[in-house]
Amino acid sequence: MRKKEMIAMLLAGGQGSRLVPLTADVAKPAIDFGGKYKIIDFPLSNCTNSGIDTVGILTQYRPFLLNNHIGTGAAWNMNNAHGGAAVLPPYTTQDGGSWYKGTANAIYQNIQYIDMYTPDHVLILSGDHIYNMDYNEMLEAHKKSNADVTIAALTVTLEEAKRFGIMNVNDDNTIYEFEEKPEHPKSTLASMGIYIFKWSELRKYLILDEEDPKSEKDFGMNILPNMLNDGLKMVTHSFNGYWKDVGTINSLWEAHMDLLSDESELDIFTPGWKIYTSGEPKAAAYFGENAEVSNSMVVDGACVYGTVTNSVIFPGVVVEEGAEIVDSVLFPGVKIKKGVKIERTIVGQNTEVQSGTHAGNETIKVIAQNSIIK
Amino acid sequence: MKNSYMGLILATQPNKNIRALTKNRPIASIPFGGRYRIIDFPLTNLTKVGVKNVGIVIPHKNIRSLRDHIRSGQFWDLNRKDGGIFLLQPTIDNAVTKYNVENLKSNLEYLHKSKEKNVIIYSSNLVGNIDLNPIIESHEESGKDVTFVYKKLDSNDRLHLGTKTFTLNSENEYQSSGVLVNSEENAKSFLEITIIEKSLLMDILSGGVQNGYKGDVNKFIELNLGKLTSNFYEHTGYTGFVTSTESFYELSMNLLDRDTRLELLLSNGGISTKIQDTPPALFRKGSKVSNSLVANGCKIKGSIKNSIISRRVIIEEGASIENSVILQSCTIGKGVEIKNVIMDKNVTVGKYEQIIGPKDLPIVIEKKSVYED
Repeated sequence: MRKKEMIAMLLAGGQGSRLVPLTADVAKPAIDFGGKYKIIDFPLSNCTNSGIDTVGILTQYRPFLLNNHIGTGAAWNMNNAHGGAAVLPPYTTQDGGSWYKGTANAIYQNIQYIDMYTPDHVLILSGDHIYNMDYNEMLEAHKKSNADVTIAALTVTLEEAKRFGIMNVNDDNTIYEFEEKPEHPKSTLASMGIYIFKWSELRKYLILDEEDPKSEKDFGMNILPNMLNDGLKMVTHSFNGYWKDVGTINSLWEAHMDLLSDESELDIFTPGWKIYTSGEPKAAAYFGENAEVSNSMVVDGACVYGTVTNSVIFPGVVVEEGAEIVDSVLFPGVKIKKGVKIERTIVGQNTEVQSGTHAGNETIKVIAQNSIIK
Repeated sequence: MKNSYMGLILATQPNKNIRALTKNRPIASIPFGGRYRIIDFPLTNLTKVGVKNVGIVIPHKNIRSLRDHIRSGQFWDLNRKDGGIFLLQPTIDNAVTKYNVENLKSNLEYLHKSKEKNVIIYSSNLVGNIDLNPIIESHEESGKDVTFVYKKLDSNDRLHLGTKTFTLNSENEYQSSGVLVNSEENAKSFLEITIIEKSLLMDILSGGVQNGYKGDVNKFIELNLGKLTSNFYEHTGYTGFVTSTESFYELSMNLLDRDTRLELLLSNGGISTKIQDTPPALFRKGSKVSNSLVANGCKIKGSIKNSIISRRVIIEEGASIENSVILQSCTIGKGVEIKNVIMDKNVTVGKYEQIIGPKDLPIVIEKKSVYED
């Protein structure tokens, strides 16, 4: 096996309980996003665009769609003779084996996979964030500072800080304190859940943590505090671009609206930074004689005969004449019949809405996939 | 069954009636329908029935765009350890000729090495979503040496002009052939799909050039019909040949008809093509789209009517496009008016320009042109 300077491990087993009902059949990273993508396409494309060609994808909850989406990894240029994308589900051993019991345990169970590539560094990613980031820049900073751990950091508001892992740092960006979801945050520097570890150190701490019966087997709760206690060098790496956790219906909707906004920094048209995805080619979108489309995204394979305003339309969607879609997201295969109005709503895959007005308010409405709404 | 068939796509069609669009490419790689290339039809139809080995007889120049499109054949599942895609180049000796017989003769080695027993010969400029299964079945049931596929034309058909027409006797056997000059009700137009046993094809190719004939392999097979038995299969679906600017325009505009679009692009599991991961099209406030196809990656502020807009086209505010085919990555400036135009890739039209062609005889604007004051 060829040695790799750094490989990535992408945690994609999340159930996404706050995205119910959309996650009834699929894991959170396999949720549709942005007209033609899945959430996981963003971290995977970041890897491709950062020159990382070996990625272990850890799956657990409802993995079929995700496995099918990743396939050989060819869609992300990761069908390599050396390295590439590997889907890593929990497995059995002579001692029985077990489910992944936490983020750290998931990596622990795959030490053998990582060791095959004898990497100097390992990048830990999660599969539920929308952002474009050059991990290679982070690796260069990590090497330059000779840190044992580098953590990508985002500045948030004091209010938001309560929901994040917050890092308190010295002038040279070294971390002296790490607080998980603090009630009274001392800083607004939030961890993005993106870590680069020296593999030799991480390997040691994963094994130690596994032996600790009181541990939650979690990076934020156990591994990072343990390393800090032992005086390992931990450094932050600031990120200034768009980053969004799309773990709730409202935030998933907001991220779609960000795609349509001129002010938002979320840009999927960035030259030289392609968002790769897999799937079959569709015919160009068709617009009927009386279609009206304003400030919206419409993807190949959609047919619009009605009115679409401030919305994102996925492939296979049909909006009939006389139907009106406002501030909404229609997932693949959705059919909206004549006379229906949809507002501030996410409609799940392959659902047919036959009549009525369906509108959310501050809370975005969600209509479950594969249903018929009469 | 289908693993005993290989494909041979002829990408050597003459292009004298479609010059502007073929300046830098063969007809096979002219963009079509917003995101496809013409050769996607033969490649998809062949691979859909399980063909795993496809040779493409290419011309001696201007093939960069074709190579770029086909890559290693992965989009048609032809990136294989065995078989896959073979681009058959003419050798230096016959580089000046565009005749595919000469090319094939210099590539006999490829035919010899291929393990399939039968060959499906297919022209690269035929637009059509054709299920080859019944054609293969007809060939096998007939027990004949060769099967030719034809279509009975309507009286107003303009999409098969210049094709060979067959005259068959009452037994459905070959009598003679002609060339379709004017559309003719019930003319049996040859769709340039032929099935023949590989060893017979190799015999014909290596068996001496009769009368010094250098030309098209289908013609060559026809010349040998004295020795070969033949079967004729009638295809009834929608088809058309891209042979001229007019036929390209008509085939494109026909996509705006729902039934034609569904049959051509969506039936039978759709048409495969190179995937580029272009983001969705973005329609800004004030845009208007009516009876049109708009592909991914476009940014639209102006208005579009009865047109086909390929990927990554930018249409600024106040611009209007009507009855036109705009190929990828064009930029149409503020207030521009475009009507009855075929615009090749990467054309830039500056503010308030006006380009209006005559109806049914569209103006072709060449690749990378810049229209500006």
